[in-house]
Amino acid sequence: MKEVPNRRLVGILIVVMFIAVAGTFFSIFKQSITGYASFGTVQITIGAISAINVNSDVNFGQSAISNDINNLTSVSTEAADNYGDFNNCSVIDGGVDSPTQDCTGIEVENQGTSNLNITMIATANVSTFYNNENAGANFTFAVLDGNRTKNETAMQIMGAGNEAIGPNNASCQINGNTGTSISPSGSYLNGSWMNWTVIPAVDEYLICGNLSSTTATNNTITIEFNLTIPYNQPAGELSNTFTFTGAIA
Amino acid sequence: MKENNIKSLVKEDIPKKTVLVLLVMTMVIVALGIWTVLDRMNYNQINPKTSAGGEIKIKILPSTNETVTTQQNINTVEG
Repeated sequence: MKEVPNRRLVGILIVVMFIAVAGTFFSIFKQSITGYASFGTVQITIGAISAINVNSDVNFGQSAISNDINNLTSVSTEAADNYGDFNNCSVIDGGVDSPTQDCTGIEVENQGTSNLNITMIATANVSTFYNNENAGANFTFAVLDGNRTKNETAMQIMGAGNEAIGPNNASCQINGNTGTSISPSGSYLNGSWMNWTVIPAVDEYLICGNLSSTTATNNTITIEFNLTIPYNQPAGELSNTFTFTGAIA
Repeated sequence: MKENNIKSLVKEDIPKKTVLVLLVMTMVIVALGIWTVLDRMNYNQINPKTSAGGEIKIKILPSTNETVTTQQNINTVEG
C-alpha cells in the first residue's frame, strides 16, 4: 500500500480546520437550528419557562378638563379623587360612569419559572399622545412593588413595622437603568421605586431588572401613570398602548 | 552533487511532528466549534422573550365653557 505523504495530510487537516471554523460561524449567525442529533440520539433541553401576563388596563373614564393654563388637569392612577368626573383610581373598578372601568395601574405578572428583565415600549410619547406641543403637557410613569391592590408588596411580606425594603423581599430587585438596587437601603415603601419618569419615545425602556418568578411570593409589579392634560386639548378619546417584554435575567 | 541536493529537497516531506500538532489543533478547533454551537442553541432555547400588552384610555369631553358658548350661539341664531 502506498504511503500517503505528510504534505497531503497537512492539506487535509487545514481544510478540516477551515470547515470547522466556517461551520461554527455559519451556525451561530444563521441561528435557525432548532435541534440537533448526535449518533442517533435526539437530545432535548427543557429550558426555563418564560411568561408574563398583563392583568389590567387603565381607563380614566371621561370628563371635561380645566381651561385654565395656570391650573392644568392632572389624573393619576394613584389618586382617589381625580379631576372632574374622571374615575377613582384608588380602588379596583372605581369607575364613575361605568363601575367596571378600572384605572389602578397596569399590573405585570411574571408567570414563568425564572426571574425576568421587563422592558416597556409605548406607541406614543408626550407630544404624539396629545398630538400637540402645548406647554405643561406631561405623561409619566412609575413602577410600584406588588400588584394593583397593593398586596404582595415587600411591606406586606415583611409585616408591619418592617417596612424597610430589603433586596430579597421586593419583586423587582434591580433598577436596570442604573444597575443599582431599585430599593436603596433604608428606603420605605411609601412611594414609587422608580421616580416618575417621562414616557420614553420609541425605544424599549427597562423598567424592572430581575422580576421574581412564580416561585416567589411577590411576582408582580404595577405601572402607575400620571397625565397632565393641556388646557386647550380638543375633546376626544386618547389612548396609548404599551408592550411589555420579559427576558430571562 | 548539486542536482542530488535539489532532488532531496523536493522529495523532503513535512515532519511527522508538524502533522501531529496540526491534528491536535484540528481536534481542538472542532471540539470548540461544536461546544460553541451547542451552547448557543441552549442559550436561545432557555432565553425566549415573552411579550404582553396594556392600554391607557382617557376621554376628554367638551368643556363646560365651550358648551355654554355653543348654547349661546344657538340662542343667538334662534333669536
